[in-house]
Amino acid sequence: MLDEHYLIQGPLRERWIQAQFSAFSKSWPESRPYPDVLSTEQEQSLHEVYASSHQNSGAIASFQGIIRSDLREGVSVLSIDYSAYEQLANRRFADIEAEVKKRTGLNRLRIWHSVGQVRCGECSMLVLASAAHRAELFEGLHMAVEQVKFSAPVWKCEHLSNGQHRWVEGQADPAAIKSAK
Amino acid sequence: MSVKVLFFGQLAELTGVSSLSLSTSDIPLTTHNSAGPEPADASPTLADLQASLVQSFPALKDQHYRMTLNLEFLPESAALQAGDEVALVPPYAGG
Repeated sequence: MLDEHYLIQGPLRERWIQAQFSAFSKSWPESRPYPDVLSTEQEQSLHEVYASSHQNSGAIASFQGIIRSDLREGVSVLSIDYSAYEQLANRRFADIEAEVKKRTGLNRLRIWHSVGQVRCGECSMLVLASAAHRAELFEGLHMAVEQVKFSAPVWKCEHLSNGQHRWVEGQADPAAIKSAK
Repeated sequence: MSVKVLFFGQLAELTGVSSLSLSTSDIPLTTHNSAGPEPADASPTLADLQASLVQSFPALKDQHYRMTLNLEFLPESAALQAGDEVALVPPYAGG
């Protein structure tokens, strides 16, 4: 069972992304088009986050991480299986949100990441950010995306068109990140 | 009571398990300072657990990973207690 709001089973689908966007950038949508993946309590807590004052936000942007086919020597990526140390990942995502907001002056920042199978062309990561101006917005969004990619306990296994699979080699040493904090 | 050990990423595939339970009394005190006899109540450390895991899963020897104890990266001299959760954490590859 996935707790918190950071990890979502399977791909972050279009409807879900639109719902997050709508709620993040404007008032709560009338239709409340929230997906089945969120419980009533989670919806409520999202609502509270989004309903807080954001009058000072003059800039909003998102980052969507999409699975590439990455064709090499006739072999392409069909899907990626994501796994996470869920307790540690939820804690880390919360820390990233707090740290990046503090360091760059973002007004709001929300992060979601898939676990389980996500196919080529689908979205596995969504980061939404708002700030008063574009300069801090882009800086904060960039920092948040980098932190998610390199400092969250998430792993991926690519399933290839030749029937084989391969673990993507991690580029970050967890302990180095810890000591750099 | 025992220690829970979690394997993540390729380590789960390599060992064929994603989690296992080990009684602290089944973890040999192999890495302790041999200046004298071990006290009867000595606790195994993360290093002892690692040595024991490599015995059971020799493939771990060539892998890069760090260990967490109850969600914290601690030195390998950290002592284990019943009920602890240890995780073998390879380099991250999210996004």
